[in-house]
Amino acid sequence: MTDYPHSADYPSPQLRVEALEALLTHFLRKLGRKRKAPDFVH
Amino acid sequence: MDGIHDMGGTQGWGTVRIEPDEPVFADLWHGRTFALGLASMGVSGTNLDAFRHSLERLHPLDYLQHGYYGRWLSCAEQLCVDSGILAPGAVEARARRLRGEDVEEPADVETRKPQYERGGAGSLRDIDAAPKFAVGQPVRAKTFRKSGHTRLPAYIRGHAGVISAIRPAAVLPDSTAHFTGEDPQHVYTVEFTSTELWGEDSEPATLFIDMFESYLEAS
Repeated sequence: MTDYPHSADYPSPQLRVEALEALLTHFLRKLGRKRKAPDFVH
Repeated sequence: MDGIHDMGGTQGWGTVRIEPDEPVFADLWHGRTFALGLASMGVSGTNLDAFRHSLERLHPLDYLQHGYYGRWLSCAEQLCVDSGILAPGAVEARARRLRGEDVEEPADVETRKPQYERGGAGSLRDIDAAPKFAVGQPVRAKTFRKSGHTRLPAYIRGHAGVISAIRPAAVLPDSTAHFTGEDPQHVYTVEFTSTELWGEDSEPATLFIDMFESYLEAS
């Protein structure tokens, strides 16, 4: 049994890559705002 | 689980065309997808076996039509949805907006990464149990059918072979794909003949298949 619906009109992979990159970047930036900046050892 | 992904050992798919100068990434988006696939495992708190299990859950038509990196892209998206990193439909909505459609994007959702313990880095583990089988011993692949992930191919199940080598113990993908523990166990290279797998009329060949201990029984 598949978990994913099939769509015959799904956007191109190039657009989906752009979308996924943008959404992950948004998530990581949001996460970064909640965390204390790391203490780097010099 | 059974599915279109488990096409090993089957026929009727045509000739395998080998490109002598095949590039690593035939298209720019292939490379970006490769990076996104690896990133998705880290961000979603999952692992390689969960990634493979998400490949198995693709719609059969998409599995065949989207190609290798198309499948990776769907799995990267799905792992992020499974862990609440992205809302269901978020990637499609954003992609449609990028191509000019006026669609509403879903709101952010609550993250729910899987909680599980790793016994170390990588997949290899030291275990105290002695190997259940010895080199040269006849064995038979079990015939179990699972609704979840397994690395036991359908075309091997129920067939007899001989232990060819004992490999380092490793975590069991059937377990780690579902975050239920590592269940590390011995791995064996098992030798099968083509006639055992496909009948007396098959092309003579010997196959060596790496298999986890729980996939085997004494023959």
